[in-house]
Amino acid sequence: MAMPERLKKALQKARRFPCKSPAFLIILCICYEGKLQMLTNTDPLPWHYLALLLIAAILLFFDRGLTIKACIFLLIANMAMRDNYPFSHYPMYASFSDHTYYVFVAGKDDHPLPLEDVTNGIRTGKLKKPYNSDIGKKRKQLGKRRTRDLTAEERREAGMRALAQIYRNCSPTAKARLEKIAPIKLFHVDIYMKESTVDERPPEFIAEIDLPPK
Amino acid sequence: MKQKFSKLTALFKPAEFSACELLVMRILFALVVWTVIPERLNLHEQAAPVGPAKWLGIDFTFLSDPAILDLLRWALVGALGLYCCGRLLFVALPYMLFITVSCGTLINSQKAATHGTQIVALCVMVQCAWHLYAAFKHHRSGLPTASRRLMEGRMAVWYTQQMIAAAYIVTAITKWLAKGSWIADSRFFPLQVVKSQKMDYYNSLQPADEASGSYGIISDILNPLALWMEKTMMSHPAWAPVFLAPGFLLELFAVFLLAGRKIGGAYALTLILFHLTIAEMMNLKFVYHIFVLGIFFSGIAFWCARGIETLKWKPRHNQGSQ
Repeated sequence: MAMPERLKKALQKARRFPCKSPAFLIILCICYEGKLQMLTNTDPLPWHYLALLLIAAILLFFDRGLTIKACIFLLIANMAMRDNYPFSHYPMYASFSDHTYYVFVAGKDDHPLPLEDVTNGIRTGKLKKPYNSDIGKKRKQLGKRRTRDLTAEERREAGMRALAQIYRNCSPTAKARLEKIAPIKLFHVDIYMKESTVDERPPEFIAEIDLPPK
Repeated sequence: MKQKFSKLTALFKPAEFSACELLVMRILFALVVWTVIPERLNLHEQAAPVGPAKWLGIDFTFLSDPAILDLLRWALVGALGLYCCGRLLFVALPYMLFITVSCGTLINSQKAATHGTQIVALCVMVQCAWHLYAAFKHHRSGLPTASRRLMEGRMAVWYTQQMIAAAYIVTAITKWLAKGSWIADSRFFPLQVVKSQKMDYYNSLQPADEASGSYGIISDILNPLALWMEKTMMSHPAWAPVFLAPGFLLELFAVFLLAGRKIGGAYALTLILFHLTIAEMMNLKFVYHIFVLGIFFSGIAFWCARGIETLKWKPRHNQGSQ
């Protein structure tokens, strides 16, 4: 059966349409705008989103004259693979809200410790990320909407795990140094933006561990 | 319309780098790869495996053994030597890829993903894929060896440049898809500045004013601008989107990095300036992004090559192919 003339012409037009894959990606971004919470970095993506990315990759084969095919392909790969080294969709600072927080470590006398100096190179960011990941899981488990709704008690386990991980990843000399000032404590400080001013709350004690952990 | 489109697409093509420029690029990139590999890794677990550790179940904690890491680093010296010479790339690059991905995966499998070195690993991955393909195909090209090597080198840089552009575009797309109102929400950005400054303070208990800048004289020049932006955003958060939207657009339109040497070079320098300002304001350094932009776009290789050529020296595979 011969293909209807109209369909044939439409297909030919579509074949000649320039930059099909980038155009498809732009439509994809418009359709999914604000719908993908990219902050849980390695969670699997919705299947329909992955299917659409696959279509974009297939369209790339039919993009005649597009000299930056590798760029589009690698863009699709990074979007699909998410935070799986060496790929990344670079989720840091992807969304902002009127609340954030930071954490710090203190010694037995509650005085803050210069973490990087005491641990020979572990920065507070390395402490916050696992803690943040664990309180995110706790929030989901408890069905709470925002991490700021968690109580100090609900954050305790995450705090203890983060402190234990820091200790485990220290060099032997840093471990010995930490053991001398043990128990080490984790404090959490909420920061809010209220009517265009930054409102920093007092440090909240979350967890402590004795060293070496029992 | 069609003509305009053809004119535009004609800009996006591989640059005709000389063999000397390619040599300079390879040497500089080899130094970057060398600095990406840490001397010691004190990570004895993979708390949240990512990438090959998750997909293939590989346990990379063997890299925490200093003896093994030392051995691998010595082998890397050999691979980087071959890479700089442009010989046996189908052997050197897979090894470089193995070690960068192994170390990066282990570091990122600690529930605390960092995003500094991915760009280097991806550049190595792209060059590796291209040179393996080229090694498989070269006998069919029919070109003299010198011309073939030059063409392969140019294409390796072209694919690397495309990788770098893709990495920037994906950051903008992530911001677009995550919430859909990134520019409007950036009025809350001052909170992030406070947070990162406080976190930085608790690293050393040294006040920010006393901390030395990250990039020496460049930091000294950019510091007043960063301070002014920071103060303005703190006192008038509504202005934050005005400062941040250009950064988002710069990432989104990073495809212009590929629009020829001049446009690409100017775009890369703007991105470098953007990174340096952020480094001053938030202490987020992204040194490897600055390095790869500098090596593959900024024209450093061109000026170095000009200097070398004035000494009347030419790499062997440059002769007869120019």
